[in-house]
Amino acid sequence: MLEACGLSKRYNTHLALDDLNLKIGAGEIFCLLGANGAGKTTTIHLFLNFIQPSAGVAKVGGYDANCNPGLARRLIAYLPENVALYPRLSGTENLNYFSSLSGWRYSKAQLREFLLAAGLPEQALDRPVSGYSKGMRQKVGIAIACAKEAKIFLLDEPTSGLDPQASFEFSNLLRNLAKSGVAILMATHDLFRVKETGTRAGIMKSGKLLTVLNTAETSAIELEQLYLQHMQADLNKAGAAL
Amino acid sequence: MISVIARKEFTEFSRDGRFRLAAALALVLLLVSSLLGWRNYLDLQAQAEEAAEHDYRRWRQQDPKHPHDAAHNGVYVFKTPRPLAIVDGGIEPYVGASIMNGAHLQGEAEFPPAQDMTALQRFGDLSPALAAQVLLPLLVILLSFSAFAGEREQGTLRQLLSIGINPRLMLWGKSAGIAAILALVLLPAGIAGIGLAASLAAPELRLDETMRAGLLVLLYGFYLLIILFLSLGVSACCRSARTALAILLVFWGVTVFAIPRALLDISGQFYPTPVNTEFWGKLETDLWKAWEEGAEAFKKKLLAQYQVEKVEDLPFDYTGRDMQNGDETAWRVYEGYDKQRYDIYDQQNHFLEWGTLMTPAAGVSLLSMALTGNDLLQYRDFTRQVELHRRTMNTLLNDYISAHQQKNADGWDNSVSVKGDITLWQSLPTFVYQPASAWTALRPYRVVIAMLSFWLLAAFSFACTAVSRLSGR
Repeated sequence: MLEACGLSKRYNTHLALDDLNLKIGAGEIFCLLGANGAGKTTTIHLFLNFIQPSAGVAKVGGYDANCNPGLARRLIAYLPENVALYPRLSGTENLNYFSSLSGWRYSKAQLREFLLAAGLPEQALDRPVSGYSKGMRQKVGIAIACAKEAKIFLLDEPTSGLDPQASFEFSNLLRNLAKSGVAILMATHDLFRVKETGTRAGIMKSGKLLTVLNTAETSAIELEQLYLQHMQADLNKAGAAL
Repeated sequence: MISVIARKEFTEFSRDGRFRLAAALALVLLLVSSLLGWRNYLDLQAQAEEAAEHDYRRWRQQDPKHPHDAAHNGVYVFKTPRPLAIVDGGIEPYVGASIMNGAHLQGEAEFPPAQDMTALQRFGDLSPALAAQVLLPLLVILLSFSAFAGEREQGTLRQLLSIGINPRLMLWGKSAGIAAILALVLLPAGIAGIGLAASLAAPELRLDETMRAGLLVLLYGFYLLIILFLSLGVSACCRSARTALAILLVFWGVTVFAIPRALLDISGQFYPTPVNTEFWGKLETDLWKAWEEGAEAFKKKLLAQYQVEKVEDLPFDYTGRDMQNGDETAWRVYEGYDKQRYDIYDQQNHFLEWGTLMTPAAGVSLLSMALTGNDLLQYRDFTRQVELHRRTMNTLLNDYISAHQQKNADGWDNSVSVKGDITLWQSLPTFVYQPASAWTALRPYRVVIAMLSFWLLAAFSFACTAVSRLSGR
C-alpha cells in the first residue's frame, strides 16, 4: 500500500531524508521512531506530496505521489500532531465539512457516532471548536481520519495531547483498523505505544532508516535499549568532540 | 464540493463578529449616503421644477417689448435630476444644471451645488457611489485576505490538501461563499435601489431608469468580483494573512485613491482646460469680427439677389433677417469654440478611460456616472438640447420681427419698434430635457467595458494560477 524506493529529500546542503526504502502492506502498522529532525515528518510529507522528493519515488496504493498527488491523497487519511480545525464551527460541523470534501455524506447521527467513538465528550459535539483543548481537537482529527474510510493512514505524533485513556482507546482503534486491512504509517516518540500497537518499527536518525524491527519479536525493554543505543551514539560523538 | 466549501465559508462569516461589524458599518454608510442623496435629489428636483415654472411664468408675463430685448432678458432652462442622481451625482455638482437661454450665445451653466459646499467637502460628497467605490472593495478585502493565507497559518490548508481536494475547487467554493455573504448584505440594498429608482422615475423614463439601476448593480457586482479574485490570488500567494492584508491594503489605497487622482492631474497637464476668461474673451473678439464681416456680406448678397440699391427697398423688413443672420453667424463661431473646448474635455475623459488599465476604479467611476446620467457626455447632450431650444427661441422672435415690421411710403419703418406680447411669449415651447437611453449612454464607453472585462479575466487567471501552486509546505 505504501512504498518508498530510494526516497531522498535535500534542503540545500541538509539531507532531511536519505535513500529510504520501505514497504508497508495492508493490515500493517509501521511505526517510525526517532528524535526530532530524524526525518519522520519529512517521510510522511513526501507520501502526501506536500514536498517533492529530491530523488526516489513515494508510492501510495501504486500511485506515484509526486505524479498523481490527487489520486494518492484520496487513498490517505492524515492525522497531524496538531489537528487544525475551523474554530467557529463545532466538532460535528468540522467533521461534516472534511468528510463531505472527501466524498462521504453522513447523517448527523453518524457524525456524532464517529466523534463519540473517537472519545469526544457528548456535550462538546456542538460547541465551537475554539473552546476545545488540544486533546479534544486531536479526537476530532481521529474522527475525520476514520470517517474518510481510507485504506492508508498517515499519522504524525497522533497521540500528542491525548490523555492515557484516550491514547489507549486510540491504540485499540488502530489495531481494529489494521485488522480491517488498513495500512498505517505512524511517526511517534512513544516507545510504549509502538510496542503496544505497531507490527513493525523503524528507527530513524539524521534522515536515515537505521533499523527495522518486528515488534512482536522485540520486548519493550529491548526496543528502548536499541533506540537509546542509536541515540547515544550521537551523544557519545558529541561528548568526544567536546 | 463547491457548494460544501461555499456553505462552510458562509457559516463561518455569519458567525464572525468582525464581519458583522464591518458589514453593518458598510450598510449604515450606504443607507446614510442614500438618505442624504435622496434628500438632495428631492431638494434639487423641487428647486429645478419651481425655478423652471417661476422663470417661464416670468417669461410669459413679461411686458410687451421688442422681441430681441426679450431674448436678451432670456429664460432659464433646467436639467431636472433623475432618481439615480441619488447614487452618483457625477460632474453635476461641479458644472451645474441650469443655463440662461438668451440672445446671440448660449450661457454657461450656473449655480453648481459646489458653490454652496463647505471647505470640508473637498474630500468629496458622501454618496452611495463613493461608498461602493471606496468602502465595498475594502469589505471584500477584509472578507478574503485570509481565505488561503489564514488556512495556511492555522494548518487547515494542509488538512484540506491531504484530502486530495482540487485547489481550483477551493477557489470556486471560497469565491461563491464570499460572494453569497456579500450578496446577502448588499443585494437587498441593490434591489431596494432599483425599486426606488423605478418608483421615483417619470413614467416615460421608468423602463430606462430601471434598466440603468440594474446595470449599476451589475457594474458594482463586477467590480467587487475583480477585487475578490485579486484578493483570493494574493491570499493564495502569501504565507501569512498579515502579509496578504498589507499587500491588499496598499493595492486598495493606490488604486482607489492615488491613481485616480493622479490620472486627473496628469490629464489636466497633458490637455489643459482653457481659462474661462480667455475662452470668452477670444470668443467675443472672433464673434464681433464674424458679425461685422458676415453682416456686410449678407447685406450685399440680399441687395444683389433682389436687385435693389438699399435695404429699405427690399420687399421685406431687413432687421429681422439681419438678426437671424447674426444669430446664425454666432452659432457657427460658438460651435467652433464649443467643439474646441469639448475636444479637450473628451481627451481628458479618454485619458481617464485608458487609466482603467491601471485601476479598475477609474473605469467603474466613469461607467457609474454614465449610468446615473451625470457624465460629461450626457452633460454635453444637455447643453446641445439647450442650444437647440435657444435657437428655436431666437428664430421665433426674429421671424416675429420680420413679420410685424410696418412699411410706409419710404420703405420699412424702423422708428416704430415692433413689440411682442403674451401670445408671442407663450408660443415659446417649454424646455424639457430628453435624456439619452442607457445603451446610448454606455456606447461611448466600450473601451472601458472591455478593459474592466480584461481586469476580471486577469484577476481570475491570477487567482487560478496562485491556487494551483498551493502546497502543504
